[in-house]
Amino acid sequence: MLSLTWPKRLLLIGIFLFLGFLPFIITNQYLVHIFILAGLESIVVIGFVAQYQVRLLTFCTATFWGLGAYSSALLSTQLNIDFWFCLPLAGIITGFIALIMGLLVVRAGWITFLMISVVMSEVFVEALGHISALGGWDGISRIARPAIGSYVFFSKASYYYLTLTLTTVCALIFVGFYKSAIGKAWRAIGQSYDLAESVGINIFKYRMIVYVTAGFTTGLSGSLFAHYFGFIVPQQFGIARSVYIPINAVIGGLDFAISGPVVGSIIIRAIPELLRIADKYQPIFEGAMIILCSLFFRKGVIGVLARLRTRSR
Amino acid sequence: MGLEVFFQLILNGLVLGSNYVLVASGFTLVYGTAKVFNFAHGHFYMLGAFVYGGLIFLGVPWILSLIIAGFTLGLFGLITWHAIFKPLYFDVFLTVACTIGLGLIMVNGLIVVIGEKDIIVPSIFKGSFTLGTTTISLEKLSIVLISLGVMLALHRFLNSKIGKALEATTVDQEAASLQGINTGRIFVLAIIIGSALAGIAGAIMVTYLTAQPNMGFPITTMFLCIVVVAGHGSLKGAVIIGLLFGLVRSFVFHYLGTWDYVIIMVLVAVIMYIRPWGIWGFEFRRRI
Repeated sequence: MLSLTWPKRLLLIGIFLFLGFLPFIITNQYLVHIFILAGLESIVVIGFVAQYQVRLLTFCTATFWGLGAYSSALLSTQLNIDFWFCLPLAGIITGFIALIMGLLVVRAGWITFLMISVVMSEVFVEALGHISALGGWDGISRIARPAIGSYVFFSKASYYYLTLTLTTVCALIFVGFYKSAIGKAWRAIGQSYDLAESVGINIFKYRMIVYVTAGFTTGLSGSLFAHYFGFIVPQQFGIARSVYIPINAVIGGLDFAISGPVVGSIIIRAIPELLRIADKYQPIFEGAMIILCSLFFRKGVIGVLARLRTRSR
Repeated sequence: MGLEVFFQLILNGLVLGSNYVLVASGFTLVYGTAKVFNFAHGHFYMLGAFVYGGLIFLGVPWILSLIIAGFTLGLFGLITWHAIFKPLYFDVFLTVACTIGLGLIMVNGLIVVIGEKDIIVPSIFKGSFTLGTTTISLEKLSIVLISLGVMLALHRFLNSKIGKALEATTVDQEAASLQGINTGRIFVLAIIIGSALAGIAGAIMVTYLTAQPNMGFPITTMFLCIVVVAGHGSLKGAVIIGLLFGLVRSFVFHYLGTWDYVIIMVLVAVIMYIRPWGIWGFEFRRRI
């Protein structure tokens, strides 16, 4: 962050000012809602990209999202715990489950890991649907909105600021990792598995760090999601949701660990709305977008912008 | 439990299992030989069902429809290979992401064209006959027998000279190309056969189920489970585990209701813990 040039700093300040005053700039409540969803999703995508850095291709991000959402919703509705305790507890519970799952699956080869993650996301939905104590197929409803004292985060603008704060916190957690020695080890594993292993990097340990951290932040995001909508059902967290996460990551740019996911999520959420494409055509648009991106723009949107800038010099 | 119920359950299990065998062996052939992960394989199955259903409605004889469905999907696999797998061969993640996108386009394109409804395709084989005390429906028997025929044809093909070359490429790609096998062509052959198997499986099963754009998703989970347990690239394992899972689902569904999926997943988790590479599998060298 400190070694940036002035134009880049100004750009960053501009982006932060825009995001900070967004509810005042955009008065359309529906667009603010889109930005809230994009913010929640970008936390998940940041975790996904971090797992991609160590070459763990996971397709059950929505499962951890659902774990966070369900644990927060159950703590809030069954035990009447305040939201401000539910949020960290949801993250800790999800991180703990990620730790147990990781001990079982992280050691397996990448292809087995990928397949198991697909299977896990189906199991999660099926198991939740069959346990009536956790709401069954009807899910959980009437989850309270967060509140400080008598102030309830009811308006879209106030919830937007809550989401922005959490996204920034989660991004800073990962920035901290990337700056430290752990991040260097992650990059080494991503660039050459065999070389990293031969210089004595404990691959299992670093993969577990990514897996648990991503589980923790995804759980936090899930908790906020549950309290935003007020009701959750198991089908929301199935494979159909999980497959969109890598699409966001590819469109933003896989080499950009923080900005890529944020930009990708905003694009995927906002562009179909701005172009007024009907609901039916949105998955087709996304599918076409990912094929075009991976065939022709492998560095994603940010990579294309960066290349344009160097060419114009 | 009467003996009659027992035989019916076995027949149902064989119907499900033979279908799983076809899809899973197509996937494992593509993955084992060309080492590309086709996430849209389940949607190829769905497309095969629709091609077959459309031809039946046009009045084409069933055996011709079945062959045309297989050929169409083989062509589709060939196009997919040249459009997606070949240019992105160096990057595993991008192929997976691209095939996800392909699946989204296929499913939602069909939903836009025909709408999200179930289409009932009439069965060609109607009626039933009685064997001892059990009544056997001709439709179920025909599904099992046609699947058996397709698998026998595949077995015959794999024992030919080209089939041996395919097997050699599966085991060791470099050694195979040193022996003068054109591995690039073998990859194309594998993806054509694998996609055609998915299409034929969908075409056989569509009279038993109904044709709908979302029918690729449940089968995707199922064949991934089978391939994980059997080991990647093992056709023998896919046949045995596919039939076993069909029987398990049939029996569990009868006695415990809709817990069948969960039971199978628990089974998968146990086997994964004991043998992470699958029962008949071995570790591939390709890393990402």
